[in-house]
Amino acid sequence: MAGVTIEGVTKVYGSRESGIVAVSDLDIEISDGEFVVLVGPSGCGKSTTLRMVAGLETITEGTISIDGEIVNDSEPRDRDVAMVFQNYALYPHMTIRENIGFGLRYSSDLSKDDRIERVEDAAAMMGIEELLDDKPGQLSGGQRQRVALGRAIVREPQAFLFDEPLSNLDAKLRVKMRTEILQLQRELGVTSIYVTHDQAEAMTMGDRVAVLDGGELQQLAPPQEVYDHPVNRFVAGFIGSPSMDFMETTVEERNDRYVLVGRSNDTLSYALDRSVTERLELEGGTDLTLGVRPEDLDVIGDPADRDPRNSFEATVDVVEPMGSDNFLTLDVGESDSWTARVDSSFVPEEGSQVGVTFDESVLHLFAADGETLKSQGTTTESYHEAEPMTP
Amino acid sequence: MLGLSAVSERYRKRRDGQPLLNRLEVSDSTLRWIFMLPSIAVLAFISIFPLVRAVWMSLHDWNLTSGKGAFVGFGNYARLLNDPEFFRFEFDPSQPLEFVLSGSVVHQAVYTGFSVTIQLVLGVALAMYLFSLSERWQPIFRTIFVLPMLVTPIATALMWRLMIDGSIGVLNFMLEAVGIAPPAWTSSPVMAMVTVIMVSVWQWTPLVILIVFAGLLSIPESRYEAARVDGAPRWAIFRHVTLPGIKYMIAIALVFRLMRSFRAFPIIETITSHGPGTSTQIMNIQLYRTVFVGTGDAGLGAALGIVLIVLTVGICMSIVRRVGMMQ
Amino acid sequence: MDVPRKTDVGFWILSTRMAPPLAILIPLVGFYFTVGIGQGLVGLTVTHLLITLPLIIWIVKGFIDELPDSLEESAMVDGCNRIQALRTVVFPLVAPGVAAAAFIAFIFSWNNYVLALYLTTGASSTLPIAVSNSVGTYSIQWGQLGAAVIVTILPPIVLSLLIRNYLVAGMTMGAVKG
Repeated sequence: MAGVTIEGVTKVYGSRESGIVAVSDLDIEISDGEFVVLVGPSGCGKSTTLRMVAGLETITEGTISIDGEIVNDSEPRDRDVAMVFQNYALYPHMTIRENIGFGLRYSSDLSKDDRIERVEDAAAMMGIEELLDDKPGQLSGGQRQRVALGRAIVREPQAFLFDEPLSNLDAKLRVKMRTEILQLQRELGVTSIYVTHDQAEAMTMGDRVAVLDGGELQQLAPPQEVYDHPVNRFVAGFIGSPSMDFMETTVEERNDRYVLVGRSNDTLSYALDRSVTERLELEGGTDLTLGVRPEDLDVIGDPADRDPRNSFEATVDVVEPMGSDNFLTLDVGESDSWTARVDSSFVPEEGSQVGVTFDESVLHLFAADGETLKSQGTTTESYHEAEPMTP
Repeated sequence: MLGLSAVSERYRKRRDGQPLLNRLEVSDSTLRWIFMLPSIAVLAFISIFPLVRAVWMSLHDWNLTSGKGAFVGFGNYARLLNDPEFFRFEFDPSQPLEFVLSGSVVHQAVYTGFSVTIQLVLGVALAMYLFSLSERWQPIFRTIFVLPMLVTPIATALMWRLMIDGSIGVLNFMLEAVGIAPPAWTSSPVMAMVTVIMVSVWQWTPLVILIVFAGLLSIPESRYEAARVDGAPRWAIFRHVTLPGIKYMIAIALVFRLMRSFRAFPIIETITSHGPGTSTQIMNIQLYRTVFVGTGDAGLGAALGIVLIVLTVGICMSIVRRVGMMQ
Repeated sequence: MDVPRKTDVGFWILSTRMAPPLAILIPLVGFYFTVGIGQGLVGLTVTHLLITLPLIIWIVKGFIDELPDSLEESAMVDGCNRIQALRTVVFPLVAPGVAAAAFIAFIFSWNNYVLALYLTTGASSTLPIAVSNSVGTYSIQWGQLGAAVIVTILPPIVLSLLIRNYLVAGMTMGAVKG
């Protein structure tokens, strides 16, 4: 087992000058036994990165090393990694036994008896012993998934590479397999890289999460940190479900205080505490994006009860009962509606007016270029280095 | 954790026991050329060499067996255009109804135009009929519909020739039995053309049926259901669900039928001997008779061959490109 | 595997198949006379080989295109090199397609009349020619005709029924999956 280092890796399809850049100057260092999730929207370069680690794509620039050895020019078979594909890629003409043993046949010098034993151990671990003599075509989606995992673990490789392995499963099975993969990885302690577009998988599975967009690494951090302290507006919006509510605002000075005023609707205002403004060295006229997570919103049934300084009115468009809580879709006068996550006992009438407020500590602020100025909390780590852009 | 030397040792050991082919370390770029070369060579031999040589031959007096003669430039093409067997058009304005329009190009156009059109229309209709059958009858009818296509063309041709024979023909006998005077199948120019088109339709409509049937099977049931839920009448379902669903298949059938109609030979030659006169002589047959029968005028034949290749490949490939068969 | 100018090569292969065989035969026959094989089975065989190859390439290509890339990739991550992946994973999976292509090519060659008409004579004539010859202008050798027709049409029919699931793909060079 070994660490995987991705250093300055760039992938360009087509010619180096005019081609399409899929991955740009990516640096990720994965330590031995770590589980790193690459997450991002489709086309962000996450799968390309994984395929470069596997050796299925050439690397345009930069280096990838496995266990300290640069593998840029090695064939996939020489890298000693195992990969689980989105469609599982089980060989349809082989039995499950042959499928699992396939890698051992070609990448190890084990004797036949040893191989049989290893295959049976792996099958037992995945709970698919009875299926060993079936063909993949006879199996259900979940069973195929287990076989694909069995095929990976049987080789005891240096690293596991997962390419959206759960996206072909139904929701319930997906959650179950998520846990199973995680337990398996913990048990075996094999370095793993896991690609997904599902932020929930990223949050629950990764030791660290790498958020990619447009071929560039946005943030690489443990899941809670990515959630609490996203480095920019993209990460803030991508991680978390339902996603963060945003409002475009301008800082205005009113009565010796700084107030955020909605740019498209100036009846929306939120007074900032002096500690925040001083810390951020805000000036009047600065454009900022305000962000709040739906679970941090407080919705007040009677708008008259609200404190006018740091709250505003909204119209309830839709109420979605989720069982444990209710999702409210709110019209706050912005082009994008807001979502609030409230207790299931609170069911306002659709079309009614409510008050919306939130605590200063949950407030996120982003500069005009998308960089985070302030994230969740009031501690030092909530204040980011980036300078606010002044007009 | 293994060191580098241990890893490479392991790989070396592993490879030594394997057949030579697996041990070869060939890079991808070399490999793709190794794989492609034999085919490229043969394809070059079949497409570039004959084509260049055919063009070269068409610019010379050339006898098939004795070989190259004098360079004549485009002389062979000029001879071809002036050859009444290739194209003949006589029109006298004073008698506008008695014009003459013949030659292999014209016969080709008539033969191709009518046979392919009838095959397509009939093929689509029969494919839809086949599609509408219950699961029990579908395989049986499918086999019956397909059979004519599987019969060796020369056997088809002989069978029809015997069936319409003036003295022993079964078809004539049957027609007489129901009181219809049998037509003179091959003795008038128009009737001879009708006969060869009919046999061609018999032999090749099955291909269209098969292709279109495959298209019908590929239309998802939900699309019909959506149209039915939307209250579409039957003709609208055909127009907006069925037809778009089999458009590609019809185009493919068209390409393959066009291609084959340009190379039709055994049916026409066996049934009508390109006659009466040369009235069912299409280009492919003219080419055969020019080059391989009699004096062996390969120069003229090559010119005709070039025209035929350009026509066939041009028409077929333009359709192929348009329907996106290459993807 | 990425091949440069893939579509152009494909287009070229396909157009080779479109050209009428007789038009290609003219320059080939000239060549056969030059190298001294002239008329006969050798020339016929070579001609068939040349004309059938594009068909085979195109049909088998269709079957390979249908395989998910990930199967080959998975084999390569599992320790195969390109050739091993081809042998152990790709080839077994396209084998039915290769067989179908072979049968289709067989049927085309078996049925072919026009090439054999010129290239073979007398003892070397192929079945379609023999069948045709048994029907003279004034007399018909019924026994000979019957036997020859049966022998001629049976193999293609039997083979076609064997590969009926691939027949449409074969007849349309893979443009239509049956």
